[in-house]
Amino acid sequence: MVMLAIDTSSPATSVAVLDGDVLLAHAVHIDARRHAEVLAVLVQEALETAGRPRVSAVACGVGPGAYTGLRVGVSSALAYGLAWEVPVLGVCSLDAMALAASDAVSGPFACAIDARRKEVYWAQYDADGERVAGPHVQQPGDIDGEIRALPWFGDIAAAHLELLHAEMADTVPYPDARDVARFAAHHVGRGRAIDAAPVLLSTHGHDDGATASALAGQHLLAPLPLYVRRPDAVESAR
Amino acid sequence: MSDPLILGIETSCDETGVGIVRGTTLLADAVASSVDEHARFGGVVPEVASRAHVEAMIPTINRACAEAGVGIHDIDAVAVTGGPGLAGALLIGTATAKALASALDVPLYAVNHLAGHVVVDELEHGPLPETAVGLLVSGGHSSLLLVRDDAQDVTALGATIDDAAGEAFDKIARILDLPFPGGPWIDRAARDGDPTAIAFPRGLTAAKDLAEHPYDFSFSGLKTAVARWIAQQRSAGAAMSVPDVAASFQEAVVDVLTRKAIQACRDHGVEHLVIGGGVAANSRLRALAQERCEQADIVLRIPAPHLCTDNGAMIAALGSKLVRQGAAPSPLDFPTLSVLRVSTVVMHEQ
Repeated sequence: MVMLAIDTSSPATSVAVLDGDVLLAHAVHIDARRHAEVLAVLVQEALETAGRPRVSAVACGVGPGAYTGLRVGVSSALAYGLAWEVPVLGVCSLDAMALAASDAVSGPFACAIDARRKEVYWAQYDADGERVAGPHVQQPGDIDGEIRALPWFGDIAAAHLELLHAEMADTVPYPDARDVARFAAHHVGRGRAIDAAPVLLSTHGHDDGATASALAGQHLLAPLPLYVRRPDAVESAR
Repeated sequence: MSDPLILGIETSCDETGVGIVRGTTLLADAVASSVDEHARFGGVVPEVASRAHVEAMIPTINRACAEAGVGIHDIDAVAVTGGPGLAGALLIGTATAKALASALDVPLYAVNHLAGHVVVDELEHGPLPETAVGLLVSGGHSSLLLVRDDAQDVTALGATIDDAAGEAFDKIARILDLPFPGGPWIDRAARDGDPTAIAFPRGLTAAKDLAEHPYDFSFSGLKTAVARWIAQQRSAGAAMSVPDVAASFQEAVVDVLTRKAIQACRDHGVEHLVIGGGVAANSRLRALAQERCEQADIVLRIPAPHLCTDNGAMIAALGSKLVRQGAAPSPLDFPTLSVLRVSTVVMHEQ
């Protein structure tokens, strides 16, 4: 089964084409402001490199991450799915990082993606790489001390060395489509994508742990952005 | 051989629009609006609009295909609004269009939203004349365009220097405790009012302004004048007729819009005026434009209201025209530009 995977939840735009266990094509372009310009070109090039295979599923890192990038990735993934008439699977981008991180660490650990405003999106994983907490959005200093003492991954964790145990953080700096593909391929057939709850979360965002509880135990998600925050807007007085 | 089948995608503001056009025949016009979600905030919130576009995009494409009785693989080219508009909202449409066009292996046309508002009239009233003046009035735009060479050459004659006309309607509606969006409510209230009851100012119509800004608009001073007038009445405890305020405000807006549009036609020797944008649904604007065009021997073209507001059909119509003209498609890496000059009808190089 050939899978196209994309991730745009960080400054990196990444694309991978995976056939079973074999990575047919892989590209990463780092520019936080150009997801929309580079993604379709990277996909086209990756499919060429892979020998124009017949794609049977699309996997998309749905964040959490910067909203604009997430929307570019999710909208593109959905359109590829529509055109090819294949399923589109959402993967929490932190889970994809965790899959890569679990190769580098033996015990429990945590992954982070930049949430700006001095905050990070984060999730905690057990020794098997299963998510046990998150995704949450918090300032690093507000995260529980025991969790802060775990090994952290993600370049934004490395920016908070005084608060997070982030010596290895740069081994997995960003979510990568290669790991999104591996994660989705691993879980296809083992579970099914959840539907209603993430749709609501996508529209209305965060809510004191609601995203984390909706995603608890879930691996394949609806292909919609995980915002983990409500839109910044003030209802009018009237 | 029949004309190619064009899918048009529009996401520049709060409407997710998908239209399907063959030649100048409209086959589908599906629109999902997030306006109800914005009403809570009294105006369009960009982040709310963007979130709604992501969720509405694919269902709206599917609805348009069903309406047209075609499959996604029947599409011969994809057109999408490349700008101007809300940057985050535009990206949902352009990302979708890029992926769709490249997966279907069909040409992609990133087009100008404003030109779409003019060209859409072809779907209703047939081919545009060689030259026309376009008056675009909506919540985001108030522009006068000179459209030449069958829409291949579009120049901006003028635009608002502050608020858009539709924005002024929304703000005055809010002061009058009318719901959002304000346009239809002001229009309705004004039907029972006297448009001459209060002499509100006509922006940029004084002689010296006309010399400097012959085709520009300004609605910010009008908005302030109306707000001040209402506040004075309220603080004096004086009776206030909402219909009179609505009618007098509306008259001030449409008087300037139509006067400058007719002047632009006269100055450029143009015999056709096309009005588009959400405010073109305003009944007083339609009536006054008709009256003044007749006096000036100008042919007035205004599409049906559902084609005046933002929609995908207008983008498909412009895409269809570009395909017929043999225009080069846009590259897959075209940028999304919240500020896109009107002279760029279709986007090529960065």
